[in-house]
Amino acid sequence: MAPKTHMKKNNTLNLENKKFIVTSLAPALISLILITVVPFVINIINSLRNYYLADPKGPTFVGLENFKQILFNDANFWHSLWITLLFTAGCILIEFWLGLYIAGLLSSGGTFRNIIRSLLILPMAATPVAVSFTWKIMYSPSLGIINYFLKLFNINGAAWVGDPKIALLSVILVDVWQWTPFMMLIMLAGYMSLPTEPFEAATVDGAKDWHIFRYITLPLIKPVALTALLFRVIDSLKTFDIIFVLTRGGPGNTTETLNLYTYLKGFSYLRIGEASALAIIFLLIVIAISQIYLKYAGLEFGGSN
Amino acid sequence: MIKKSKKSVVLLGLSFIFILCVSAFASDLAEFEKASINWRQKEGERLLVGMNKHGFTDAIQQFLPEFEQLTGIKVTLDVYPEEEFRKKRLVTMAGGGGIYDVFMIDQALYQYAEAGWVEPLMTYIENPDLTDNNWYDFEDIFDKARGFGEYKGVFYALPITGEAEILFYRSDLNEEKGLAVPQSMDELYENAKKLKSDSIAGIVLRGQRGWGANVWPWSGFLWTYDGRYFDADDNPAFNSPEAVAATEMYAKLLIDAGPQAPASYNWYEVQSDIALGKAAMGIDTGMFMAVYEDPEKSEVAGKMGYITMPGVNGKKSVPNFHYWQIAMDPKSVHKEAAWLFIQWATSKNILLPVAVKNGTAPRASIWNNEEFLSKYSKEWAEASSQGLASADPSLVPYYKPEFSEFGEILSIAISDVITQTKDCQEALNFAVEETKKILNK
Repeated sequence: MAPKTHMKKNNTLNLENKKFIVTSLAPALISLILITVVPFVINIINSLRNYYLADPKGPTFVGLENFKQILFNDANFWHSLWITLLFTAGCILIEFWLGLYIAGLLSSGGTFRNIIRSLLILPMAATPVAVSFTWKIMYSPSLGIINYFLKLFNINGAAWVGDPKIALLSVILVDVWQWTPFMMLIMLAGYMSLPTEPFEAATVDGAKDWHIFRYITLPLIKPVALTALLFRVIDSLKTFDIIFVLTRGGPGNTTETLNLYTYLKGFSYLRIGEASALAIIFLLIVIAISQIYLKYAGLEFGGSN
Repeated sequence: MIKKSKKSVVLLGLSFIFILCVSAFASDLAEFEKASINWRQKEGERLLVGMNKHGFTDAIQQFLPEFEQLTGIKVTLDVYPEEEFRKKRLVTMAGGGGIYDVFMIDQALYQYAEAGWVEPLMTYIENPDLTDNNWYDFEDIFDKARGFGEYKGVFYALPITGEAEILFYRSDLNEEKGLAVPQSMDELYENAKKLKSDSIAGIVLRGQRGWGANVWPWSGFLWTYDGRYFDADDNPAFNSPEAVAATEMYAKLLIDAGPQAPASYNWYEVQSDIALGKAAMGIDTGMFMAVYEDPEKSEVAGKMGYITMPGVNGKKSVPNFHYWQIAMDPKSVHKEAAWLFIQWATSKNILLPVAVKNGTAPRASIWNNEEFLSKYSKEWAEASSQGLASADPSLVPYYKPEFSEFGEILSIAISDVITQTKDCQEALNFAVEETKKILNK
């Protein structure tokens, strides 16, 4: 505890500074409120209205009707939710283990580590839409390079995004290509910050490589890995561009995620009310998933004291 | 003295150039000045015109200085790629409008008309101060195209392009295999199967979901098989026996003779596969001809044949069609100037050079024009103009504002039949049930 006289001095300083702080922060705060809080409030209002753009009578207040429609009378909502979860699970599982593995390889050093690391980061730097268009061309059965190379080895290539059985997998593959480096990068940072003593002790005790990984590396790297996972889970749930470009939800509706469905509802079907409700439901789902995740992962943000 | 004469030579030269310029413009403007209206009545006003990237947009850009010369109205084009433009236009209009004076529009016209976002145009056409119909010739525009611009009896939009669904085929491959040009759907199927091999698809059609993707060419099949979107009582009827037969043929063509992943084909893939010699036949918009016959973009230039899409049971086909149009924002504060622009842009004198360049035209006179016909093959022009003349706007349920919604559901059903994940009847039944739900909202 500081002595009282000191406190007083600090307070007057604070008062003098307050104006300065407020005026400096104001532009950022106001623009933040304008681009996040205001649209969010409008979104909530719209979700409670029967807002159909093509209806000249204009919107009317309908309470929770939109939510009721979606939850109890819309098979496509549950279908697209299921696809969203499948997509996220697929992406995360592959990206996590692949990222961990590559980070492990790179952490053991080697002359080319820095070059390889820089090369691996490139996919992350590319625009998702440009990436998706490139993959779309590569996936094309008639013009694409993938099936062309497979043919050189006398393998009949797949229909990739055109086959309902593997379309989702093909889309996941693109996400994996683009975002594994992100996992790798964060976990590599985790690897680099590991203390060397436990490993030395384990080697002295004659532990096998697998045991070292399972009982020392993994627990030590856990906080970093879980943070990386959380980012990717939220990001994967929200994925839009890759799916929109590659399949537009097709064939049929085998790759239609909740995000794409919301987009169609709003911008193609013009049902702004239902789309807003969908967006809010989606937000709640993302919050729920990340809260459950945080609880079970034992991660804590914002001050350990 | 010497200085002075130098100056006068320069001046003389400049004025000579100026006269040349003026006369160059004058010769172009003369055609427009034949119209007995005062083109300069809104001199000094400015228009903002929203357009998407399109052959028409590129073409019109070159003529804008002439329009400014003619009317003294300054026009700025605001151009976006197609999908982005649709969104931009929607957001602009939903936000109250008043930004674009004139904008390009497609089937969304009916949604817009329902919402009151487009200005009725008939009063402008009938006003002799604004329109000289002897010169403009409103009736020269295909009556189907005029019907396309109408909603609930009110006329809202004028066409700038006109395209019809036709069949294109590789005449060299037909000759090689001794095949005749198919006259019926069954012949088309047999030919497609014979033309299919490991290296080339027998036929390509759009299979990708989306009301603007597979639904468009599929509609031509539906009508050709005598199916309808809605029955006489306005109930959705695209699960009728006729619709099932049409859908089964559409899917059969792709499953037995199509490319490897037809469900991922939108118009772009259809266009490029044929242009690169990866497919022997295709049914899609006749506009693709301009790409196929361009040796720089295509490997099949000069090898293609064009004909009206085949019919069934000895009857003629009923192909689908499309018109891009331009319409006016009712909130515009320069409505007369906007109308002068629309009139100018949809006049024969502008649409003809655009048609010669792009191979698409909504006016009957252009399809008889020597300059136009000499550039493109006769059989193609016949197939396209026949398609445009027989197309029937009342068949397309675009006039229902919910079309984009149930069209998407229908497109998923078509895609499911193509990928053989659902039985045809079952898939269409489901789509009809969902459509009823949407229409009852």
